[in-house]
Amino acid sequence: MDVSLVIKDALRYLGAKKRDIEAEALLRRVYEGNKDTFSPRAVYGLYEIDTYTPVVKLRGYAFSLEGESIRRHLQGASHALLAAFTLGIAVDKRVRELSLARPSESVALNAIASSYAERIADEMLLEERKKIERDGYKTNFRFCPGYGDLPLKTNEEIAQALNAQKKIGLTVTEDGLLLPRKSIVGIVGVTKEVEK
Amino acid sequence: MRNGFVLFDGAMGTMLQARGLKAGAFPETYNLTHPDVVRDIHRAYVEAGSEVITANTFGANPFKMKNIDVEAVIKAGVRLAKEAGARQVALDVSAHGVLLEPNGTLSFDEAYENYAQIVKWGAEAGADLILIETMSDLLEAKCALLAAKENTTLPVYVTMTYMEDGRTFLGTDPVTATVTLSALHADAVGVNCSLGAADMLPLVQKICKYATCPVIVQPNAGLPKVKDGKTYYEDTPDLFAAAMKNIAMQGVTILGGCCGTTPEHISKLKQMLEGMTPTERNVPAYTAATSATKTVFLGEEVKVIGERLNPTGKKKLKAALIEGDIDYILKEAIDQERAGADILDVNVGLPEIDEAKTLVRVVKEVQSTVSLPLQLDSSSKEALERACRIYAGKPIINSVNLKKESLDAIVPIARKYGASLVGLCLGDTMPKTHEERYAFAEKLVRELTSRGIKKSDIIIDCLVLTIATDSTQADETALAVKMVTENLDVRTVLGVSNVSFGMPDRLKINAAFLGKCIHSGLSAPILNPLVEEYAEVLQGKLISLDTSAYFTFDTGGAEGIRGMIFCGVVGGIEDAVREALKTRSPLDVINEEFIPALDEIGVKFEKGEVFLPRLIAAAEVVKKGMDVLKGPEAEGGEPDVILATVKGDIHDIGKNIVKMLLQSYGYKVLDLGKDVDEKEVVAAWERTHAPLIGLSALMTTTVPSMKRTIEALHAAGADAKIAVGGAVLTPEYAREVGADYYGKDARETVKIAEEVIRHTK
Repeated sequence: MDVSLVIKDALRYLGAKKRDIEAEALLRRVYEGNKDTFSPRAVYGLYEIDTYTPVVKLRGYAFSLEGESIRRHLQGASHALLAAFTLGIAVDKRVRELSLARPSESVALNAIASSYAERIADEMLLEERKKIERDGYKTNFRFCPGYGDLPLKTNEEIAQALNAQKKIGLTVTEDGLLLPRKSIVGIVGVTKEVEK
Repeated sequence: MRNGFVLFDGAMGTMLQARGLKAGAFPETYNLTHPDVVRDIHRAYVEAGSEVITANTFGANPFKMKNIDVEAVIKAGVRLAKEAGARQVALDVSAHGVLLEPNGTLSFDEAYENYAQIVKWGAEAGADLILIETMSDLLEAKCALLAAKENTTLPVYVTMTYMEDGRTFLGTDPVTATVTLSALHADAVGVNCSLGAADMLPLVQKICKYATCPVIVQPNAGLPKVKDGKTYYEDTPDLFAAAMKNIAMQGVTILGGCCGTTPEHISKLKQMLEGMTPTERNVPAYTAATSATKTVFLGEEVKVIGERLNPTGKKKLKAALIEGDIDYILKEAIDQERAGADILDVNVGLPEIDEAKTLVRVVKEVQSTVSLPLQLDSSSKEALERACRIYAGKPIINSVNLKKESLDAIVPIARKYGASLVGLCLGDTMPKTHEERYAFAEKLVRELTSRGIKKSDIIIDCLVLTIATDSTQADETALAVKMVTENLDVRTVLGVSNVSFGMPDRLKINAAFLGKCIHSGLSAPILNPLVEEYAEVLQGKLISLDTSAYFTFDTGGAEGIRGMIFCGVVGGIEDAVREALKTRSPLDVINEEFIPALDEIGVKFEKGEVFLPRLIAAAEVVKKGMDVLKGPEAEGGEPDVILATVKGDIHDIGKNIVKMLLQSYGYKVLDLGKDVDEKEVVAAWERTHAPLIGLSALMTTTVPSMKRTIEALHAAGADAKIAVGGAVLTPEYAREVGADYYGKDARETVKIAEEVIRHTK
């Protein structure tokens, strides 16, 4: 994990427009002081695509993937890889605690945790994609509920199907909020590689 | 089994998946749709030798299963296990799958109602015991355990599930869970799922060391692996049985399997157990308090109980309690934790407030923010009962004394909730000498144990009286501590600072007395952990608060008040403000120093020249400066602004930033918190008639809730201006939901406040 990239993203979230060495140093300090609260975990499920119409359905998956955007994302794919990821609850608690003890650090940590979560989720997912690609498939990027017209309720359905609460401690509130806060759910298209 | 072991069954979920259950569907609905499949699986376990069959009711909960007849699912589940020939049927109960308040939105009471309903249905269907399993949240496990105990007469077993780092997802370790759940009268405690039997061994050893009831262990069949697109578990029945032998040797008597185990695993386990006899466990007596994530044992080294969450003599805390300013209270808790306190005393007794309600709220918030165990300090039976109930651990109750009313009121609560109990050496008379104190202590131990309190749960307070009226009191108390420790073999606490009441130079006296008492064997002084004099006595055990670690931005010119604000320098601002007050009025200091500095940094923030933490650091400095201007008296009067994150949304970082900046500009803010019901917002406006209401929502799904809140305010005739903000909002959205203003960020919201409040004032 390249920490400087994490910090760069976090700076952007926090509204820094110009390069600011002090701000970077500060974020680095907050990162170092709190990275013990990051406990990334992921769970995956690979499902064969059953049908594309009228909505995408996966074999052995109790729900469907609704909307035009996900159909396009999975165009030509034989499988869909469902992924759920979380950075864990400890960082949420630390952000809360710091918001009372040292508010500026809290805001900094919140931004760092978001950017760290995005990057580590991608890294872990890449590992999983590589495993699949070794068997002669190619994979595309992570498409998340809320992108395009893929409904947000898909978050909860995927979490349920992957048993994410039991496996990685990821929960979804009735309003669709993922808890712990720094959590990501996504779908990757898996396509059989054609021999050239 | 005849030799004393109890054999449970293995997995249901993974067995159902192998028979076509779809991912994401409720396995429990198979009780109604595929009863033969469920019964067959049960029967296979009965034939493998399982004495207890776990009904297929794991996720059957009205909270999760909307539009499904959960009662039918549960009753069919128990019935199918019986039909399969089970000798005993365990009703399977687990987590709601969401987080409890305040981390999530599910309330303790709602969770309790669901569990109460589930266990009643299970008991009606004829379940023989209740298994609460795969729990990550200790508070939720406690909630389920209470519901099971209060609504049925069945034995209740509780197992938690731990990751490879030895903690649950919510941070509970096995020692803490075991101490807490055995104190709450679970009939067996233990561990299930997540890990294989071999990896579970270190956890099981810890559990066996502290469990005062039988221990239950149900591991997975190792880790799941995928081969040829199929999931299988790596532990074969033989491997599983071999690893379970080591587990049984720790003194575990109730065994079974979780994910991936099959009737073959259980059959091998049975063969293995037939050749063993249960290992006897010796659990030494211990005195402990737990939070959800930590256990503090009293007796070995001195543990500090922080005293600052007590309004006696603290005007600001008193004001915070009356106004419901939870952040101030939490800050006190965090400061004490950071200063090295081991346990926090929580006392909210004030004539102006509903003590029970306030204690519950404060305990809920404090326990979700700091990780220290709490000592619930009250003489109100109702307050203690309600706080013990929602407390996520084994608390200490402070205190009971020898008066009959006190014993009758407090002892049943301590016994029911498994609390440690401070017995204060006080009766119809007050002890003066060490002999009298010792006699009281002896009587307390006798009385409390006869009323069902374990001796190891008793902590004696030898009563500190001031030396101002009787100079022998310090020595008498210290000697009593020594006698109680050595002769009665119970742990002790003391409210150290009472010794100097009415005296000059109190800290020195207190520190000297503290040293004397520690020498006499005191287990836990109750004191202010932020006082350096005590830290020295405790010999480096306490670390003083390091305020220099605050952010500073050395961009030059941190001189004068404006410079300090601009550069975010916290240290020294108070002195600088005091100095300024010698020549200028408070209002001048605000207008000439605070506001221009904030404006300056605010403009830079708008331009993107400085980033958000910097703006907040400036606001922090101003807040400290404001405290000097206001003095120790908290200001009264009605708020200028009411702030809330709307119902369903628990994001509050943005709202808190807005609050902080508004306060630093001198506005009085009433913060209703997060996940706030529209009725609460309306009630707050009706009470205060604040001219501005700020609502925050961070998710598209909670924007409708914002709209409802605004409609409710309008319906109630509120003439306040309404500003909205939050990540998903846009000026268009703001108009659509009926807001008067759109607050792009905290800085913008200050401008809105200036406009609105100038108009109304």
